Amino acid sequence: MWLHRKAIRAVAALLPAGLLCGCATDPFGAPDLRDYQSPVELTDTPFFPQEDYQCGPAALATVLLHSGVDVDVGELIPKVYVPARHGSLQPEMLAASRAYERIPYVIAPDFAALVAEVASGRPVLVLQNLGVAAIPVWHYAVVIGYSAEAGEVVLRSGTDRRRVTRAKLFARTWQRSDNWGVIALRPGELPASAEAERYLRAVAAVESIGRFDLAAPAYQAALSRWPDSRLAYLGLGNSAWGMQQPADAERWYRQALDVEPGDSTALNNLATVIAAQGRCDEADALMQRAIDTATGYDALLEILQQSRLEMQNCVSE
Amino acid sequence: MHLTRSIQLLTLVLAASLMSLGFAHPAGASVISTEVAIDLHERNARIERINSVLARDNVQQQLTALGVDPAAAQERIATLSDSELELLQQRMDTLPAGADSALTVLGIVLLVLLVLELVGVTDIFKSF
Repeated sequence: MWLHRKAIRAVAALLPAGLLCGCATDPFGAPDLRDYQSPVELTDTPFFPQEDYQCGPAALATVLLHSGVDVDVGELIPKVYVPARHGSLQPEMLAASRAYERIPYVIAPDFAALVAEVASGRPVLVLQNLGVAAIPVWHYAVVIGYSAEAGEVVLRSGTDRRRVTRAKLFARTWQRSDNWGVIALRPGELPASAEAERYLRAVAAVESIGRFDLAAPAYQAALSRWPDSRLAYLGLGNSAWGMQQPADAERWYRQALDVEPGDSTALNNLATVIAAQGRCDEADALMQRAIDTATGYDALLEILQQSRLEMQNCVSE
Repeated sequence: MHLTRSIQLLTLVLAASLMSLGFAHPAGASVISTEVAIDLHERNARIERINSVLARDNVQQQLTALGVDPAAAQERIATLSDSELELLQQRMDTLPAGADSALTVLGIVLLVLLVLELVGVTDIFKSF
């Protein structure tokens, strides 16, 4: 592997400049690491040396094991490897993390978020294009450290336990994937670089696959950081409802409405839970309120009207 | 170019998130999932509904066609969110597939070309 890379460098040096001009522009520029004074390296990050197209499973195993999942590469290959594509796809990398009860959080696409996560002790799985746009060489690696002084990024990558890359070169290869980076969170953990909506989206994906038990503590964590998040309350309501706890669901939806009284989504969900308990008139009034509030929002209205139709099956107790 | 791609992607994601609007329940009505609530909050758009069962079947078939074991494919689609499922359904062939050894292949190809060039078989590089 190392030999090949050396060979490529030798060849590249001999190539006429014209052939290489595809990568001459650098929209990202040199990352500014000066805000991060002391170098960081997460030396306890596991390492799975891999060749033969398996960098996806290897990188995933690295971050999962680091977050406490007992897993190895062999087990992950049938979960993320796509034989005919000779590689692994980003959505499947996220999906596989959920299968191991971790919440994959796609970090904000910038160096600040990447560095913040590594500094807080979390290795970041990144997608790079080591080639150029015309001849892409897609590659998953794990960022485990950086040094502002040296202008370097440290990675677990392929067969290299410790690959040190110039920050500027790394920025270029990372930029070609639109700076795609992921961390694996235990349910209830918040990212160091957490952004409310980005985080709630990550948790909502776990909710949407029916893992309400994982989503609930993650929404609780969101509330601890953003106490006025109506989406976190909504998510807690949905999780409680999914776990067949209607009384809790009702309570969470009402809290969402305390934050935002005109939240049609919370009104709809509250109405649903109440209708299921046979309180049909109350549910109907809530649905009416939801529809009135949503005037002008076509996509939402369509959902609400469908919901109201379905609620006609409500049987009073 | 970039903007067009972003809009296409956004449309995909929005379409995807309405695939399954909530969790079925005996009472008939259903709650709106947080994933859909986020999308609705972000943009009030005309959204096309897509059948989530069909999307899952479709992605599973595509994975199997690409060499994934059918039983494994079924497990794999179970933990995809609605928007990821839709993204895969639309772009399975064009999404980047992170691998490693392509680098090796590229190196060999370049070496061969260079040797061919040096011994006078090809004339690729001078023509640039």
